[in-house]
Amino acid sequence: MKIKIFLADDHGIVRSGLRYLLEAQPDLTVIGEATSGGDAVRDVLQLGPDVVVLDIAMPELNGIEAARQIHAAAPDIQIIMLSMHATPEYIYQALTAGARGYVLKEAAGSELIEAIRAVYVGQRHLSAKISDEIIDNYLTQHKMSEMVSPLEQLSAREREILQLVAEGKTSNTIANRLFLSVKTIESYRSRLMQKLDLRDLPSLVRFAIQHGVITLE
Amino acid sequence: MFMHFAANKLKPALMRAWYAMRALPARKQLFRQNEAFNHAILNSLTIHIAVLDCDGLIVAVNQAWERFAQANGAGFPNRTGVGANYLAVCRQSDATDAANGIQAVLSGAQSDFTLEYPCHSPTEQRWFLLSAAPFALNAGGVVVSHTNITQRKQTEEALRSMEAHNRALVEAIPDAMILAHSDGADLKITPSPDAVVNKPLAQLIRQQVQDRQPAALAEQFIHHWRQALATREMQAFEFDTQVDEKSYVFEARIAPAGVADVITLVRDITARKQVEEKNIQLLQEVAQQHTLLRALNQRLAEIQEQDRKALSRELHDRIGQNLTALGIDLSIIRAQLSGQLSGVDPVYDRLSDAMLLVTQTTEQIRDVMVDLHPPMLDGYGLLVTLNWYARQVTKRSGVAIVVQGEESKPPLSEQIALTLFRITQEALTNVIKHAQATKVIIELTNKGNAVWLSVADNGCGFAPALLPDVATSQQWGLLVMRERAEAIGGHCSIEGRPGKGTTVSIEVAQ
Repeated sequence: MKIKIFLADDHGIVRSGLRYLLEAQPDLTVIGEATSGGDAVRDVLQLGPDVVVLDIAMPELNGIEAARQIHAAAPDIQIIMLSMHATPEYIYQALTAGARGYVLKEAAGSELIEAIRAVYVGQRHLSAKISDEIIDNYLTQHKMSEMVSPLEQLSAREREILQLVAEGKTSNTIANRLFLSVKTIESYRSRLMQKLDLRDLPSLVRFAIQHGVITLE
Repeated sequence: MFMHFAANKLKPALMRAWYAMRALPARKQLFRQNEAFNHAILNSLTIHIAVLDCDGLIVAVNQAWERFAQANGAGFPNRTGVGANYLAVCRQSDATDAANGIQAVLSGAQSDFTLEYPCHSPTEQRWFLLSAAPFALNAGGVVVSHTNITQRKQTEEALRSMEAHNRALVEAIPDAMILAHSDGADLKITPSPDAVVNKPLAQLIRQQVQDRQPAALAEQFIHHWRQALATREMQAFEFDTQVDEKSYVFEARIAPAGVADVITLVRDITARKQVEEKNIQLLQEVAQQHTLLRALNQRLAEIQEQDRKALSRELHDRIGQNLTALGIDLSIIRAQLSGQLSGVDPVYDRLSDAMLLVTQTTEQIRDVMVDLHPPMLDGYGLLVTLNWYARQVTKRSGVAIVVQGEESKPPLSEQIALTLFRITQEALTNVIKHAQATKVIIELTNKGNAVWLSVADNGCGFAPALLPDVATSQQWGLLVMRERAEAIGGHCSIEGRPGKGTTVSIEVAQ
């Protein structure tokens, strides 16, 4: 039983190259091709391949959106994103849209086959360069949070709300004072607690005192 | 009484009778009393008085005369005292005019005689007024007086010199000058000497005011004249008129002079006005050019961004895709060959190198692509793009950069988002190059209908002196940030305090 693959890329030579590459493998077969996101969604849902390889940048409907639609309609179909972009923003977006693999185009020739086999058995696959990028990103973030005090990670509005909450004001009072809705205040509140890694009100108050946001009188 | 006698023209017969009566003791007594009284009066006068008989012999002098003669070495009493012939004295002193004049009064040819003459002492300038009036004694006579008129003469002299100065001043002033005089009820133009009203313009105005034609101008003058007289303050106004069929702009300055007079100076300011108008016009042109320049600058920035974006897209869609295809094909060829060649075959190595080159070229293209245009700005918004860019800068520079805030709702227009991104880029470049900062906080917030972005560092801080003529790269950077912000209708402020870091903030209406 071969792994059934669907290819979507608007570049003809890329498409035919990939087909040739994949078909050369005994366990892989290409059952369809598309040149746009829209066609890809329609044909994939009709053909029901095991794995879809989507170019992230396609006319009409881009790869991300196509992935989202395919994943929503047929969660069993594994999606691999082909992309020129190596930044985490693109990768996160692709992954949240339902992609299981993210392969950089320059690595397609050497990595795509491996990626198809990985996602087919339920694993994720990211290009080696992407993994480097993400680890790098994580380290930078980590280094920064050491250099910047937790309070500085809050926005001015979040700091304002932290102070009001620590002073014992209710969301209602704060909402009235800042001319914002209670819902907005609540969302600020949960976001800042998440940023500061605080679980409850007492720990929030403790944090506020420790960092001089409020003082004990 | 003495003067009374002098005034009476008694007939010689009567006079003789009067002299006969004089011999009477009682009369004599009375006469002596009168004489003493008269002498007292004469002596109390400050003018010098001498009484001459019909031959010109001095018969009486007052004390003022005596004192003057003594003080001035006139040989008193022999030369000018009682008994001396005054006519002879005058002639000897080359005062022939005086002698002739007195003679004329004595002879009755002239009713009186006056003569102003200088009589300078070695120490001071003096003038006197000689006056001779007939005095009818039995044989006739004359009263000669000398009055010191030095002060009057000096005053006259001062007035004359002042007038000369004024005349010179008036002639030196390029303005036309008009004198107006109030007779209490109305204002009149006094007929001015030509030296004062020295221009056809002044004559024209005088004419217009007198004829009240054209009414507006005449009334303007009269109004300001009255105002000057009422307030005692200088008045000024400007007016246009035609002189000799040419248009002029004049400025009139009106100053009160004396109780009822006003002096008006009218100056031709046509040239000045033309320069002023030209300046205003130039200023407007500069402002227009400035606006145009800003618009062009904005357009240029837009075009540049469009080009960069197009180029970036081109790199992605064509070069990137072609490289991808090339990479795949090389992979295929290498896979095909790997079955036929041994692992150390030079052709296999060439293929591997070619594939590596494709990978490296793709990476380089990606860097250039991203540098040209932040790819996630269009799909992911400004905050995500700022986060991404901040990470790049942190990796490169080691400066910790925190991006916080929230994405705008509704999303920012591409132009605003891109401009804010470019300003942040510029600000971060400045921070890395000049600020010696270790931390930067980028904040993006919404304030009502406006979006607000700030880039604050903890570096050395600087006072931003935005002088284009000392444009260092840093100052150019600041200028560019401001211009970019202004171009999208925003405002960029840069605050730096030494040791307290620098904050660049931009506010733009959405």
